[in-house]
Amino acid sequence: MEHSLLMQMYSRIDEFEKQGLLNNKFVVVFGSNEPAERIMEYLGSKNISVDALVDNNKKKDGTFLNGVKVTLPDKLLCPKNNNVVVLIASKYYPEMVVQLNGMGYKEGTEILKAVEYSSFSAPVLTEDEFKKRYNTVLKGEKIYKNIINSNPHIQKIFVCPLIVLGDAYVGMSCMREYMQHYSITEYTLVLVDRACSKIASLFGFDNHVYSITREEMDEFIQYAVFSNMADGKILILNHRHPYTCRIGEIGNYKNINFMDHFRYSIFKLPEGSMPEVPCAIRDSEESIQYVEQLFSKNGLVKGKTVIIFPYAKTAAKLDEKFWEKLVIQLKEKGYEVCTNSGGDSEPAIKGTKPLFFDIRYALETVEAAGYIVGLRSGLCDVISTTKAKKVIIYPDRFYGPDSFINFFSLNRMNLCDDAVELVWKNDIEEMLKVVLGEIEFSQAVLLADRGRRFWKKLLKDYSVQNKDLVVVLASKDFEYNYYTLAFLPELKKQKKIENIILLSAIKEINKLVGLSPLQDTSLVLCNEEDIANICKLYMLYKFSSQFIINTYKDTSDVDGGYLLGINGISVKDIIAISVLGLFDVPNESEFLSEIEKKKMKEEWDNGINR
Amino acid sequence: MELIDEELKKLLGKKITQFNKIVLFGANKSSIGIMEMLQEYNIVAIIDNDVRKQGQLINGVPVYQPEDFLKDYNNIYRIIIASEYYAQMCEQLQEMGYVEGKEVFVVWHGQRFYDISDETFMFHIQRAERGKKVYNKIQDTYKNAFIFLCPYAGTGDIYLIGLYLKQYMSCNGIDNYIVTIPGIGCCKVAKLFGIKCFNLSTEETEDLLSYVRLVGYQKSRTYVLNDCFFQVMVKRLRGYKNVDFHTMFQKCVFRLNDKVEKIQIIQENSDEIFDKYNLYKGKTILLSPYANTIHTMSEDFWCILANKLKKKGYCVCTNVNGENEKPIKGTIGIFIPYVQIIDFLNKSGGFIGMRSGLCDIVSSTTAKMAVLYPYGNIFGTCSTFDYFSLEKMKLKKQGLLEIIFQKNDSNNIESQITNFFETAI
Repeated sequence: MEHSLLMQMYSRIDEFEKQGLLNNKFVVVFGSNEPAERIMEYLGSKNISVDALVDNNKKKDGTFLNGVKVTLPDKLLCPKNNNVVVLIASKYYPEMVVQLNGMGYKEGTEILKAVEYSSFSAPVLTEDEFKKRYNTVLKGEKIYKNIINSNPHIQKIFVCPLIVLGDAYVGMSCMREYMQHYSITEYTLVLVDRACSKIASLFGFDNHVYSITREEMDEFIQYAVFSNMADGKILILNHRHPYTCRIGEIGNYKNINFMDHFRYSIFKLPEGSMPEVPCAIRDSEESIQYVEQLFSKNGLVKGKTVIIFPYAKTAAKLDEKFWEKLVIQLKEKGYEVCTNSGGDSEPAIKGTKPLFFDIRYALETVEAAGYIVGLRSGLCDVISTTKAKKVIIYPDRFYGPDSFINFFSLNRMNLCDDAVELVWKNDIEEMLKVVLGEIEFSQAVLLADRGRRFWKKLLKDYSVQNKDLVVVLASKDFEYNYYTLAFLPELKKQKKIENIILLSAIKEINKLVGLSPLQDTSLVLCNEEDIANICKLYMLYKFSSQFIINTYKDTSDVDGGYLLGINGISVKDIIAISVLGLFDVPNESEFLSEIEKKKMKEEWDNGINR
Repeated sequence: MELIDEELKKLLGKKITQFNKIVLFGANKSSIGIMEMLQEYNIVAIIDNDVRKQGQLINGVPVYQPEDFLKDYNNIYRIIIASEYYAQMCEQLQEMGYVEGKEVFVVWHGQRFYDISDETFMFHIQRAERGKKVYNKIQDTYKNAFIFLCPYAGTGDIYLIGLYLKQYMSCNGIDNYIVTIPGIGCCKVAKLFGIKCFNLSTEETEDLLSYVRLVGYQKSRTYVLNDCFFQVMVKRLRGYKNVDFHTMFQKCVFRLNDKVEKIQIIQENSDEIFDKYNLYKGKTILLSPYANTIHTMSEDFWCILANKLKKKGYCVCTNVNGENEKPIKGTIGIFIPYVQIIDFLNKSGGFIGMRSGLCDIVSSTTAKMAVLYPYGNIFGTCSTFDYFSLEKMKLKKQGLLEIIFQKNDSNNIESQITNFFETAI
């Protein structure tokens, strides 16, 4: 729910309480939806319990929402019960009232409007109301004329009626294709600043934006509806506008999803039309700079930061314990965690910093972070095309005749195909495991990919040829490295290797290589991470026949290190037979005396421990 | 496919002619492509290790289990491989006597290894991604279970796993676990030890392995129960300095000390089998002439041996498992479930068999066992015998006769075995 609506609802409920309308009543909420959850929460904080929920959706009959049973209205409310009070927080308030009136319940005392969604619905026919509406239309007409005057050639006026990120994003993602399809070149995009104008920037519509206030928008819409969309010139980018049909409810029937409403119902695009990927300002200098500053200011680490989105308007909040536990576990695993926060109404989850970022740079921001875990919200649409790992959680409930996820799935909407989409289960531990598993998996993919890039660069920088061999000295053990160097000349001879490139992260290797019999060898000193990443890639698949890793301990399951000491198997055996693939341990290959070796080993171990 | 076409053209008319019988390894897309290219050639079979594909027809060509089809070596066959698993396939064929470059030709090595292109990288990532789904499925079914991943469907491997798994778990404080096993036969072996197992297909197993390797064994709380699956390094140590099959599992897979805890193998009374086939206790010998991964003795050998034993007063039966295994002529074909086989052998007169996983399973019997090993090396410098000898593996100490055979010495072997049993009882 939008914050302002929520605040309005709370104050209305406070008022009902003050008037004693809820005293000793059997409290029913109409609609098993997110506002219902909020009502339950809020009344709960006042020690007033919601006794039942009613909903016209047959599929919801008998289900539970936060432990409260959902029933069909006539099943619970007929015959009329004088002790019942029904709270409604729905856009379909007028329709619900008609239904409840039919059962004998009266507005004002037994039917309470918990929130006023729209300035349009007012089931009254008084002279005053009519005049008020008439004036509104006139004001709207003025706005319309101003727009037309600003560009007499205008062919289409697109309107984003609500300040809802997701709706605006999805609407605009179809605009360009619509204009191509219907040959529109002169257009204006009417919206309420500022969030929606930022979405317009993403799609590169800045020069066509005509922004008006919220009140003006209501007037303009009223005029549009009244003027038959100004004879077709106006197109409202919202599936619930104008309010004359319940298209939203038809949605999610027979696999129609949210995107389908836009591309087929609103824009009348041919089947298979795909949403546009916003790239007007993507990776621009200003966005790069913005992200740099944001990350340094907040002390975030690129590729190792998880941004969590716990808030959404249409999806009910998840158990806060889930987020808190997730934060703890992510931090344990070395991730930075921050909460995407739009202000005071969206406090940061315990243990995280609040992170506010400009919607225009949302894509770059989450991509730099690397990971998001979020409750499905409009922001998810905005960042859908990012390469960052997206774990999106959907509430386990219905939306219209089918599940919420079926209607709003980013993947199903064709906004992307790589979002990990999960339906909330009440088992927090289970959810945590799945979410963490996803994060860890993409972390591993990221590291393996870094390993791959490093390897590519290595091949290029040292122009590695077919008969060359790269030896990754991944082991930190002195003897492992010593014998690898000692036996390599034999391998070089046997396998007719031309050049050997040694790769190590240990400085002490320099001296050891200098003393070794290896001639004309390139020694590449790199970071420990580079070595770890190459090993990660190696664990994924054998990416080259031209390399050897002399592992020890870190990934010892690959070299047979656990056989050390069995039947007299020594490090020499492990290196010669297992690591290098020789048939015998080469004779007379030691290049240091026992005393020298001991001294070197001491130096080596001191160096490692430093 | 273009690459395959090119490779094939180099071979056709030279190494592969219209007189050859062509066998394609792998019931997959590339084989179907090759069939189209070789329409004028005599394609007689497709071989595949996947049990589910065996018995099917692909474009009219039947799919067989590789060993079943190629068991009797015939140099008229030309076996074509177009798979990333070519190395394992060649190895498998070599054990049956088919050599790469002679009868076996790899026309495509797969683009999946030795390559760091985006495409190959993504192929492996996607495999790991599928493995993640398998992993989540297991986690969903067995909440918080530690996963033991058994990648290879060898009954002998499972037997060794059975000997040490519980000891490993108690050493490492693991209580809640599940073992994933490819193949149902192996699950039956696991059940002898009361091990909880979850059957996966070969593909699922590979996907899962790919996932846990990428994420890390520790992070995924998974442990791989094999010494060298996909790892050439450890494999090179097989047989080196007398490291045998058993030592490899005890030390390298399970990393345990020498102390072996006594393991109870679940067995049921087998008297009904004696009754059903009219067998005499103490006077019955069970033949096990079939093995999956090694050469076997000729049928003649077994017939003569069976006759000699019958003359000594033994009832001789053949252990047959499935339709492909026929009883040796003159013997009774019987199928004994694992859960009765040790009890059966204890009450019989003995066991004679090729070295197969069954030998591991029955090794704890008190009955006499004669086990045949093919001469030759299978792993690097190590011979089959050195690596798999039941005596070296310390699985059976008394009443054991181990024979290494070569092609032309079956006469000698028959008498060795007959003598071994003559002195019995």
